[in-house]
Amino acid sequence: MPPIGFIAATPGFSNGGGIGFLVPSTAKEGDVLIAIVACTDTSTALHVTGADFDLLVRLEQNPPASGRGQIFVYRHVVTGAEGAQLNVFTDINPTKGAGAMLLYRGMARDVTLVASGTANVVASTNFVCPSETLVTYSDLYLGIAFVEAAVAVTQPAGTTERSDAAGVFGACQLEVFDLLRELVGATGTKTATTAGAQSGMAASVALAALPVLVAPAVDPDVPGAIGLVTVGV
Amino acid sequence: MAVPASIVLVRFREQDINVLPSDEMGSLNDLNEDAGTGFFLPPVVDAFTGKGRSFGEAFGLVTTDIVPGASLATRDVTIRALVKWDPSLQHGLVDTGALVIRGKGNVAAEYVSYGLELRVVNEPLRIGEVRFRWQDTAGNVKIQQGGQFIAPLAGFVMFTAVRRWVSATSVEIRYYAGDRLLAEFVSPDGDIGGGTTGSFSVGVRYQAGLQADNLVGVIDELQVLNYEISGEEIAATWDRISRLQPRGYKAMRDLLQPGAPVTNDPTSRFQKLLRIAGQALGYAAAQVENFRQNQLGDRAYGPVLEQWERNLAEAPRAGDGIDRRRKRLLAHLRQRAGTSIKGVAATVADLLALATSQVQVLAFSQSINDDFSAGIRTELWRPDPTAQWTIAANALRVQAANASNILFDGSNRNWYTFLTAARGSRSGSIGSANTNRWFDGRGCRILAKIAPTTLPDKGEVGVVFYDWAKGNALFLGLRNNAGVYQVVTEAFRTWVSQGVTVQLVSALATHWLHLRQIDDSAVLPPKIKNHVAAWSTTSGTAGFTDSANIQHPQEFQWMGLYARGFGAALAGALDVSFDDVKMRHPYSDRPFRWYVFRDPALAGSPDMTAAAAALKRLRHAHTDAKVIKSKSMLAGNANCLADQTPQGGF
Repeated sequence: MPPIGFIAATPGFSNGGGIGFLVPSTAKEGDVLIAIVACTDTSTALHVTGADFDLLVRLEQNPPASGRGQIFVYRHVVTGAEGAQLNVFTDINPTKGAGAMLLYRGMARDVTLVASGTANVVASTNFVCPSETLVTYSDLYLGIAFVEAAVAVTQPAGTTERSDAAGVFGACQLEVFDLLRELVGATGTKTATTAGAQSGMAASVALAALPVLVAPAVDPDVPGAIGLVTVGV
Repeated sequence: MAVPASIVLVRFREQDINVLPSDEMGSLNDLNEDAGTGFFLPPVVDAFTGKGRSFGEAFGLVTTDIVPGASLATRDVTIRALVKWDPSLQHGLVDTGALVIRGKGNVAAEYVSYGLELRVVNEPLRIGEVRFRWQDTAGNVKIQQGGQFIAPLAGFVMFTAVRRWVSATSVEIRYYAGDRLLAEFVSPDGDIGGGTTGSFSVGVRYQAGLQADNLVGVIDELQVLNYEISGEEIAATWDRISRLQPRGYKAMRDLLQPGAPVTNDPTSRFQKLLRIAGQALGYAAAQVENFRQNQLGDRAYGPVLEQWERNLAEAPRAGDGIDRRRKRLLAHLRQRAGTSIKGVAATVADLLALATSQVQVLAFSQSINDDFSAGIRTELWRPDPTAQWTIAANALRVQAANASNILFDGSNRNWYTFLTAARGSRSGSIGSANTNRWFDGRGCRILAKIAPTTLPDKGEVGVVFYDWAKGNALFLGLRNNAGVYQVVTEAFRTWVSQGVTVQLVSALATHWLHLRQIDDSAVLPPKIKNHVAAWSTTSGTAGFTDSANIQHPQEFQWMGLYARGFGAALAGALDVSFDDVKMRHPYSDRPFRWYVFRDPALAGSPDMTAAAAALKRLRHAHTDAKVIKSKSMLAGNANCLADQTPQGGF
């Protein structure tokens, strides 16, 4: 049920064959874990398998110069029976790669992805995450900035940073922020910034919330009933 | 800790606007307007339970506690309200309307300890949100994430907001509309302010001395409780109000003879009398239905849950939530497969917030081995002096400087020792004049690899059984006696040497030395046992030669490694390595202790108390079982508990 509530975030770490994520202790059945994996290798060089996840979207940039790579957005619905760790596997170690996993409550568990987009960044302090068109007032905008250097990233004004994870492979950084606008329509671009000019990828996804419930009501024809009590129910 | 109770219940039953609303719990003075701030008594209107108050612009109520602090709640709190609310009407004034706010917010005594408000999220879609707000002890406003809903076109909604305080950095929040859970969060805002003399306002909020966030809607009833209400109780209340009480009235009407000459007008006196009886019938049915649905441990709450806990001897700790308490009960009832590892893991996994495969069950044997690959484990060994014992190349190394006086001759005890406790026996000693007497060291043995780099004249290294209280010691060592390397044994009784026996003329080479006490029925003087020294230059498992029996006092508290001088100071530097120490204590009670290890590095909030209680039930009577977070008792480690964590390590 909306609003989509952020609960916790965990950075990715090397699991020997890719990137692993520890499941936050606060995860409850029905929560949604969104794992973001980014690497500078394009799909011709590296394949990623989300062993414990469903792939929502794979975003790729393959320009002639820098700012190329892939960003994967995965989803796992918490069942309560999973182990302490969820994994994403790669066929080779990424040249540069990072991961972050976010725990949300109230996010749709079936059709989660509303929209997505990506852009490459070449030698700039601005990582411009594309605008997304929100369909429902409760949609969540998630911005991703993958920087090909181990530098801090500042989230755009008006958004909330959820992860600023150092690279698992090579020197890189993965910034993730979100925004709950409570409006439909275009969000406009959101620009994350670095202190010095960097290259990398900027991406965005819009994620759907669970449907909002109708509050049950009582509408008596005539007033008069036993209301709240202090003994019994 | 406050007794769980309803601390405020305002029913708004007044028939006349000028009759001030009162609190049935006696916590509040009568609620009144605040003309100075510009809000006045809300009009009385028909509502679900009879009468209610219609709030809007310039309407509101405020009061103070009769006994200061009676309505204050800075930890757990539940707020319930029967409300008729239209987001379109609210949006016409201001998007947020305050239901109840405890505190004006301007000074510490008035910091808001709890507040509940309704907010318009999307007016065209009629989407609203119910949310908590409060202030911390510094006065910072903490508006919590809310639970969203589609507001009905008509009728009254029962909103319930539950705050369960866990710690200063963790608060669990749940919102309900009727019996439906709208949202559930964990907030970090556990630092909650509020003073005993704070005000209690309804339908309006104070902001810098002015009114703000006027609610546009009808409040029928408002209740504040100082404890966490369970979802089951909320659902049972809503079931009573929305289904069973109306059914009770219908049942009364259905009892009438068809065609009976009575009016069907719901506003008539006769129908109102039927309604009263029907509501009472429905109320009674709701209590029965609540018991039927919520009597078992997985759904119990309140006194029923407490009774389950008493019956199963599962006492909750202060601060335990309903979920945790239920889990404890279920783990108690579900335990099966006894003390098997599988059974233990299945019983405690949930309590320890682990998957079954993550539960580690640790059991001891009577053997203790140390290859020093983990360094010097000071919880197991007592190096003395500490500076002389180090680790080099994954082995234990002892060094002494040239001309060091490390004499041990009974009178002088300047030796270097690396000792551990010799575990004992609780059964009677064979041949002892005193039966049923336990003694340390019974049947013990020690085997160690000794690799000397330099062993100067007058220097000796080896293994020892040592009773420091009585001055008894049995040495088995490699010594350098004027350039001749010898494997020797020497026994001391009450600090007097019984003589050195040269067992072997050897060389400066690696030796394996094995000293053991023979625990047999040999007829010997009282409290004396045969001991055997053995040595090998081949390996730790072959090539041993045994000495003749050495009669020596049976009891000793220490065993281990040593470096000592004999006769005079060392004639050179001593540098010797020890490795692959194996000790066996056949009569120690280590095998009777077992542990469930909960790795603190794994995520989760374990209920260690409940898991410990579960182990107490599962264990065999002759064993002792503990839940631990450290495999060894380490000084200054927060995961170590006296009388619980293994002493000497696992």
